[in-house]
Amino acid sequence: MTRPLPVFKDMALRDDAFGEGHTLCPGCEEAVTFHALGRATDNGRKTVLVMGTSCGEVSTLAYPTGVAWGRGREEPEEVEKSLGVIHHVFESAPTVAEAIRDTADLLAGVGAWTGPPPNVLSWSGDGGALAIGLRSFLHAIHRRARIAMFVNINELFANTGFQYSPTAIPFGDASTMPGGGSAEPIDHIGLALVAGAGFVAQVSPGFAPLFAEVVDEALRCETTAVVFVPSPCIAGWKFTEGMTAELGRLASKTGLFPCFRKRAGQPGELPQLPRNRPPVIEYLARQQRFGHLVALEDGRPIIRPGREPEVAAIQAYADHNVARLQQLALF
Amino acid sequence: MTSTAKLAARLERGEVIDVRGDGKAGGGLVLVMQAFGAALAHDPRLAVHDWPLFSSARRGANVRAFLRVARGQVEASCQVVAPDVALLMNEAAALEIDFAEGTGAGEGAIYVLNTRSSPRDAAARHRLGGVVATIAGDDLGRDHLGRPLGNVPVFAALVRATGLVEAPLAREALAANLARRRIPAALAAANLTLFDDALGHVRLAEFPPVLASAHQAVRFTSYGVLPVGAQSPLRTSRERQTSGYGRPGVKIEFADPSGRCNGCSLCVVQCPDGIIEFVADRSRGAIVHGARFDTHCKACRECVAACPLDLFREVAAVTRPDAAIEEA
Amino acid sequence: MATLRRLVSPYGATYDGAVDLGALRAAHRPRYLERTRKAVDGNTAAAIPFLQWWRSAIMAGFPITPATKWLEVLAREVAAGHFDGPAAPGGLPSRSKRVKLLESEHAVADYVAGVAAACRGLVVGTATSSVGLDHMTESVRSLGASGLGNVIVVDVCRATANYPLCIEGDPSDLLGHRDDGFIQVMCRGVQQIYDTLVQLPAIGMHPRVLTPTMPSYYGIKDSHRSGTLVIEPDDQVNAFLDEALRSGEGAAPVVEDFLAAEGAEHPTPPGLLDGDTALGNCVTGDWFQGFKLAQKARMAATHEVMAEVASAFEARFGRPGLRPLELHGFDDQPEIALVCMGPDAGTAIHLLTRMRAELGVRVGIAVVRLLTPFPARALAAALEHVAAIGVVNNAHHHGRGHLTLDVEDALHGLARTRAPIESYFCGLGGADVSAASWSHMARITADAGTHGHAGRRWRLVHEGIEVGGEDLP
Repeated sequence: MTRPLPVFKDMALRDDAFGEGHTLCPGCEEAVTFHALGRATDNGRKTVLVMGTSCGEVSTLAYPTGVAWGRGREEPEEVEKSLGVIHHVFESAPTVAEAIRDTADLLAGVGAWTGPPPNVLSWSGDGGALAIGLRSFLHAIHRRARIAMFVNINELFANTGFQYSPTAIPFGDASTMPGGGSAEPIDHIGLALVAGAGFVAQVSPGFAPLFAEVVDEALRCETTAVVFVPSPCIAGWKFTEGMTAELGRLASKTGLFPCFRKRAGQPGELPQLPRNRPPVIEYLARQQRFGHLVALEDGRPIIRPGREPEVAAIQAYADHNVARLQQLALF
Repeated sequence: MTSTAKLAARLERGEVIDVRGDGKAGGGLVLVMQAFGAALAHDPRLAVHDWPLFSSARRGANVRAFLRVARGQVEASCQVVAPDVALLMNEAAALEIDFAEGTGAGEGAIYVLNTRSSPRDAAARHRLGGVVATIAGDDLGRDHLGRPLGNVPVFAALVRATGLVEAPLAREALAANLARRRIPAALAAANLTLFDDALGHVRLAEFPPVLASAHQAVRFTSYGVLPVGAQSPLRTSRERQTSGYGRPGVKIEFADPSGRCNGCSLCVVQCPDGIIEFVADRSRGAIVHGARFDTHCKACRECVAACPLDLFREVAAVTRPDAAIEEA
Repeated sequence: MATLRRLVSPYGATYDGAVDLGALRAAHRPRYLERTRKAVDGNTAAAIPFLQWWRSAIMAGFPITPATKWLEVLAREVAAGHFDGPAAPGGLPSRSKRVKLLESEHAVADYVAGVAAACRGLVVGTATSSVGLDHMTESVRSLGASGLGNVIVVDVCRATANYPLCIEGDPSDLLGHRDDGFIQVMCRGVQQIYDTLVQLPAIGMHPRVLTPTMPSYYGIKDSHRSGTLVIEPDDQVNAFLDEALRSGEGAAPVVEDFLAAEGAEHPTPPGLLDGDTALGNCVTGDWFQGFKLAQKARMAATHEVMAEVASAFEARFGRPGLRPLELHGFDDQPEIALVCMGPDAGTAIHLLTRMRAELGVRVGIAVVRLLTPFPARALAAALEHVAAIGVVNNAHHHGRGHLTLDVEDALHGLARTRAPIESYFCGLGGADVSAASWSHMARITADAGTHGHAGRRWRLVHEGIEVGGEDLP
């Protein structure tokens, strides 16, 4: 008798609702996440995906020959395999997704929708959910909208040319803030928890098995599921090809964007957190956006002269971020 | 008089010179056009405008840029549709468009290509009549800077092929540009050495005119019947071949002659383009036998990094399917 | 779920049977079983159709003076339990109507977009005003081009923005949103408000139009003014809309016929829940202009479709249908005409006989009802033999006046008359447009008719006095 496959392998074998031909950068983590969502939603339920304005949207939803979404090679026979995708305006994804859920529920309540409840997902970048979109993000959670909210975090407003974002760790170069600033990132996990989300997680797709489990759990959440996806951005951060998944794992292991998983009312956890976390400099040295602070010399990271205080500040942030999230996990 | 000399003479006469470049996002086109524009602008008698055709692409997709230069004033802001100088910054861009579109009528254009090919081969492949300048910019960039950055060599090629600015002045402008962008001294020096070296590597030749119809742009006649609100079906991107989006000169291969793939499925889920080909084994996972490298691989190396058995690897490659001409 | 995939070129596919709108229709509990007369204010008149349409399952809102009562009426009606049914399997509430409160108007507009896109056969609406409409701007400008003709945004006109703040009624908000892409219709009085709403989705959802609608009325002067409203029974209101949207001829009415017109020249695009499709694509500059051209064509189709819908309304309900203009005093070829909009037009109509007697001139009043797309041809036809025209603008404009520019285009651009146009500003921010002001405007217009040219470019009139203006060179 064969053992059932782990979730992520089972998902790898499903029909993907996201395909090739998109114009996302080579090595873009967002694309990896889109495939994960595309496969996870092949679960016997109709899927509706709502996208906020982002790299992901302009690169996968373009007329006339740029729509990369769609399960299979043509419109499926069954509605459960079909996909409705909408992009409305920048910060609207959570609200539009909530509307779709409410509509499906009302129709189901009067017998006008007899299938299983659809998968309803919203997708935003960090600008669309946590800067301009913080209003819609928090209020959708507050209203307990039964949607799976995915927030792509790459510490920049990438689509518009890599401007500073409130999710940025200190001192990362950004086009509107050369050399970065000292402000610590917005506490997106804390905000989602306090607003009352039913499930809050943060996982990079570099942890493939964990990511798949978290996506699966998000789709089954009875209230609002919020999954933050730390997403290395090759064009904005400037790192070498093949480092995307690795940097996502490193961002987590250093404590800057640790994996986090918690259901409301139950203790949570920070999975995949090593006992001896790698120092932040391992993460910083591999990205040119921190090139003014650190460099790689013979493959070893070194701090540029005079930049020790900034690197220390980033390390301190990582350290107390972990401590704080460990507390929040018990909330 | 060569086309190059004719171009300089037209500028002297007060005519507007139109330049158009095609390339891949992130491939250096905009840097080249800006550098060329800055060099031209050193002459206070000249007005220079340069601008890109707007695109939100960051890496890989096709991009186009324009430059206009004239004595006195440049007023026109329409697209350059009949360029006097046409630049192909990244050969893979030519898979989707004709970079020589709109040329071939009248005096003959000047073509500058970032390629290992000779002018003769380039002229044959792209059907070019006029001055053809080629430079293996990515190789020179790799030699001097460690990365296949072709923008400085291509800038040098533009300078030599167009004759619109003297080389020493262009070098000065480049140095000023590097200083303004706070490039570290060692790297700036390497760029200038690269410029000097590149000047010597530009290959130039002139060819007889081709039929103007060879590069006639498709004339716009109507928008046709457009869907309400631009609502569309799904899956419309599948035919777009994105294999030209990756770094030039490399490709990814999969080799598993003894069938070692154990179905870990990591490459399948880590591929941003979803092109891994496999057989589903419900007890082990995805048993991989290849990927759609030729049509959709962007050479991002995530599969190389993901596979615990090193079944993927990056190898050197030419970016064009018609490699036979290159080898001849 | 037994569904049938139906390809809908060029949008993707619709899965017939995935959403059984017949079940939603069957779940509707009629609010009015018979024709009913009731004293209501403007906001209430605008709310009632949403209670009556079986298609209006979800109504969304955020309060803003002077529109708030629309939301409160709906909330009260739904909370009273009239639309609740027995609990459905799975524990979901079974209700055919729901009022949804969002945290801001921008969220409201995003939310109605989601409902409208989820299921194209639903009607979804909200009511707002001035800065609330402004707060939605990004979203309504997108909706205007989206093809989601099942969206209704009621604008209760109010002087917009600040410096100074004024919460009283003028159409500066509506006029500031002229090119959002909505069909904008001005109503005055509770009957016009109600009747207009009953007709608007039949126009907006028509496959040749597919444009959202923006019925409007002035804040305070109409939103808070009560009158007697004749309310039609639910089954008639619904039959009217369902029939208007039906495409088949002679066949028994099937509610979704227009949605299922296979091979029709103007298919209704798939919705998100019952479709395989993408909404909200991005395009380059090569394409955008073409989409705007197509959007203009759909907007222009409003004129023809509105005439069909108005005739059907008149046939069914025996009251005037929605026409682009209301003409008073035009039976005897007026010598001068006053073009105006909104409740103050009613004052002019009331004073018409007196005006004519005082001036010794045949005066006509042309009330603009369809504001966008502006009925230039209809206005040109109505006014082409008039010797002088006075246009009354109730909203601030940097130049001669919004309405004046449209009338100018209709008269001098289309009808090619040489009749002078006097332009007035009156009633901004809800200022009273009194009998004295009407007399003054009528007299000045008559003078222009006598002299053959306007005396000034524009004049601001209050309490019968000209307090400002711009002279001609």
